[in-house]
Amino acid sequence: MLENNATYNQFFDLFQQQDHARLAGFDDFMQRQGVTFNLYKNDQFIEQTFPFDAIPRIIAADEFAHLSRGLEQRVGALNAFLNDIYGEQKIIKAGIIPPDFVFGSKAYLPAFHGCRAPQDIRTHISGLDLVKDSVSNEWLILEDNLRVPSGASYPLSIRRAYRQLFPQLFEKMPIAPSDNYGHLLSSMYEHVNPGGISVVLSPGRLNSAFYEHGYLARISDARLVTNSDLFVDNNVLYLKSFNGKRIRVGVVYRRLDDDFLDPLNFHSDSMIGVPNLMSVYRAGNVALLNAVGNGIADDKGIYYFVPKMIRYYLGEEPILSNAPTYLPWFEDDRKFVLENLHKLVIKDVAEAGGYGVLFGSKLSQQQLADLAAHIQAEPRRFIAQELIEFYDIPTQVDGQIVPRKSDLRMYIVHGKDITVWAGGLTRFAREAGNYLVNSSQGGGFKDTWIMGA
Amino acid sequence: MAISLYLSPRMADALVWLGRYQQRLETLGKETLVQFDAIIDRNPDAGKVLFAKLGSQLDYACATQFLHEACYGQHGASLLMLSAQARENAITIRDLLSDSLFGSVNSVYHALKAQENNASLDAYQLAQLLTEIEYFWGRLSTRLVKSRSAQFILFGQSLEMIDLKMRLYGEVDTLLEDAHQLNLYGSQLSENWQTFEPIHHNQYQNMNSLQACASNIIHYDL
Amino acid sequence: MTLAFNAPVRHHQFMLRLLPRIASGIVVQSQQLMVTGEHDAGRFYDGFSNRLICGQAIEAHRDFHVSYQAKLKRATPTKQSSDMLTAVYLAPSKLTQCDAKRLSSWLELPSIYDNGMALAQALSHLVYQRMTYSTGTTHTEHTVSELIDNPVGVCQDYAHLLIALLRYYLIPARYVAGIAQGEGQSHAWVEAWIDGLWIGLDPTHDCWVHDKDPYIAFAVGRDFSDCPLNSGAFSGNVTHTLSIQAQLTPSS
Repeated sequence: MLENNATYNQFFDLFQQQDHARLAGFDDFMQRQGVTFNLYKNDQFIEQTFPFDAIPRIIAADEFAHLSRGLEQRVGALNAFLNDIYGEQKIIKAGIIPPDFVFGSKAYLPAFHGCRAPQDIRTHISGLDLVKDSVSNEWLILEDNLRVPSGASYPLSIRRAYRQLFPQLFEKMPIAPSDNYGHLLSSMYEHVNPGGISVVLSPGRLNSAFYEHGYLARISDARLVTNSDLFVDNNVLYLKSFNGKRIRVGVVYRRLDDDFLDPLNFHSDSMIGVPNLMSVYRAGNVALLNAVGNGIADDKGIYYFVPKMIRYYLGEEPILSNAPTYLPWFEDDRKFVLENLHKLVIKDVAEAGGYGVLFGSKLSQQQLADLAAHIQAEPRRFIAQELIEFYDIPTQVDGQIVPRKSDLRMYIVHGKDITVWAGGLTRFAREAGNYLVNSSQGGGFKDTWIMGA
Repeated sequence: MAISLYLSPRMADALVWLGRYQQRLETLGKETLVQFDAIIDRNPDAGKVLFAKLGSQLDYACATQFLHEACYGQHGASLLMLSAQARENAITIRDLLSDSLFGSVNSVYHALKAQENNASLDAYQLAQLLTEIEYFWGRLSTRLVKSRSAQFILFGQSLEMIDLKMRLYGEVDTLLEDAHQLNLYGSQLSENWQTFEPIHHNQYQNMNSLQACASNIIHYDL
Repeated sequence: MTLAFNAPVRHHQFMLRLLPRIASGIVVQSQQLMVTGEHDAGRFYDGFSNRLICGQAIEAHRDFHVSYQAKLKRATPTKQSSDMLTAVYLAPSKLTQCDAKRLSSWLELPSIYDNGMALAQALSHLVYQRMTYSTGTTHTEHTVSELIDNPVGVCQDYAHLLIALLRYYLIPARYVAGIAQGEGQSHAWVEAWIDGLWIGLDPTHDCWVHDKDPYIAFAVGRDFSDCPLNSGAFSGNVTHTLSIQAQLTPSS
């Protein structure tokens, strides 16, 4: 079903009047600015542009206000959860979350139990994935990304091109500016900084999101570094300076996973980490963005418990709901899941990026039986969700405007306050009827326009 | 371009090499156009002489073929290769470059790359492309405040200018202005800058002292 | 402890777990620590309350020494609620995970037992009987699944197998790395959470730890991978050998 509202009509009225030859300008812009993501195909390194569609996702002012309240609430609870799990573990003692879901997860890092994050902030930059259900007309949270959520740079940089190519749209429509994202980041850095400069730590040139690393560094006034630029001395992190001096580093917006951060504490064969970085962290001399061990909070199994966290830590009712989810680990849920396997979506909690997602309706009898056996053998490993009939949004494919499934990643920056960025990454599936919008599954992106009040 | 003092040896190195490759690309591109013109009806070997000075051996039967070899040939001084090197350096220090500076470097590469396989790049297009590099220098020098990053790029530019002039023309007199520029940037970037003074009739020693001066700027080890 | 390199290394970053755990009923009366090249190494606790020494030896060196002398006194363990939930020691970990059915069909596991202590002792005995001690195996990290296929190994493997068995019976169990009387090198054993206390078992010697003191624990964790005594990174393409010399002298 196609999402529609008065604002979309206003957009299309204006858009029809524009010179569509100018649309080519977007591709020019992305190529000139190197707005790319990198990937390996058949052992070859390829720089690829992210397919862009000029028809934006449009979100009304009151709808954004509602989303903001819900996302701030959710991130606040997730941050409290992380501080608790690496601290007193009250939520487990209270019986709200079974210990198995925390301690059985690879993402839980007990070696960092008791290690506090500067200002007790762990969820500095979150990317929460939502879809809008066409049945209830409500936004639902599909996934919390609290480790290294990527993608903000794409809508951010394309907005500049959009304003240059089609200024009329921005004159006639009250589109909220999104160019404050860099400022949101830099003021957050300032709030959590124990002293020193800020850097964006990238795995390097060949990483899939390298363009984004450089872009975010520039707009947040941080230096883009790789591990060879940094070293640890006496529990302090330094940037080597070209003139032989050293400059203290207080904030590391790291764009690599925990496993690779420090070969002394994690994978010992990591060539992209900084040896003894964690001693600096333990000493409280550096803020790592996001904090170490956050993976436990965006584990697909823990997702089920987020509404309970909101009630437990904040004493509030969740403003935004999860997609209806079942945990086969619980006996009642397991029974339901096994009986309704053919109409559920089954996700393997260990996978990401659209991998390990199975649609029951598309499986053969034999495949369903195999899956059922797998779930019974390892119930902790799976979650089951009802298939959400989320909205299509109008999308241009080969010059035609057609409906395509789209999700939305919203970015929340947690510094002094928790702030939802008035922009977002809308991803769409390129084929009709496809529900997987991930860029690794060939999806494209759109800008997200928040309407001013 | 952000005004920043915080540059690691790796970043400083990438800035210097960005300046060097941009200059090498521009000079060789312009020389290619000059020799292209000569090959047409005056001196068929003009292109071979040019690239021999840079250690590359070129074979071609006509001016158009020369142009293609200069741009895409399998040798260390092909314009595409130089452009790719400039771009690689720009990519690793993307945060230090404005969108217009980065876009300029990147677009030259893409324009060259796009015509690699169809052999359709003509001299007129190449001349147009080279104006992108003039634009790059223009953007860099019209900044009101010279950032530390710009100084490194310009340092690389004057370094390369001297290096190329010695290789291509072998004259000391034409170096004096460039040496002055180099010493100016060098002394801004390092307290221990040793003045580069080219001497007559000793290109070997000039090359050596140029390398020695350059290595003085960046400390790779603490 | 000595690390000997075959060529000089520089920028040597280290993290060591070589200090007696204060948490497990030990009182330190006096201590002295010396580390090569370090000026002011960091002292931290990791999440398992293991003591860490973090630091760096920047200058070129071939040998890296850590010497620690201390006078320790064993205190009576008291029942206390650990700050980290003991349930963390129930979940399968990287090296101890094993299919429960395989484990139970491989060993004839007791189905009736008087109490936790008796069960733990029986399991430790089972491990002692089934395993063959051999230092000849090449790689250091056998999983319990691999041990079922080939029950040969050293103290670390004995410990992992016992941990897997204890967890199978829902007894929280943890890996202990340290030194013991009579073992020239480092040693590994197991602690089981029984009646609100961590009780030490040494399956390699089929005995209770309190019967064969002294054992000094440096690190505990879910398995070996949480307890490396020495982690390091350095510049230089070298090989190195690690040796630990321990001398325990009971005071009169």
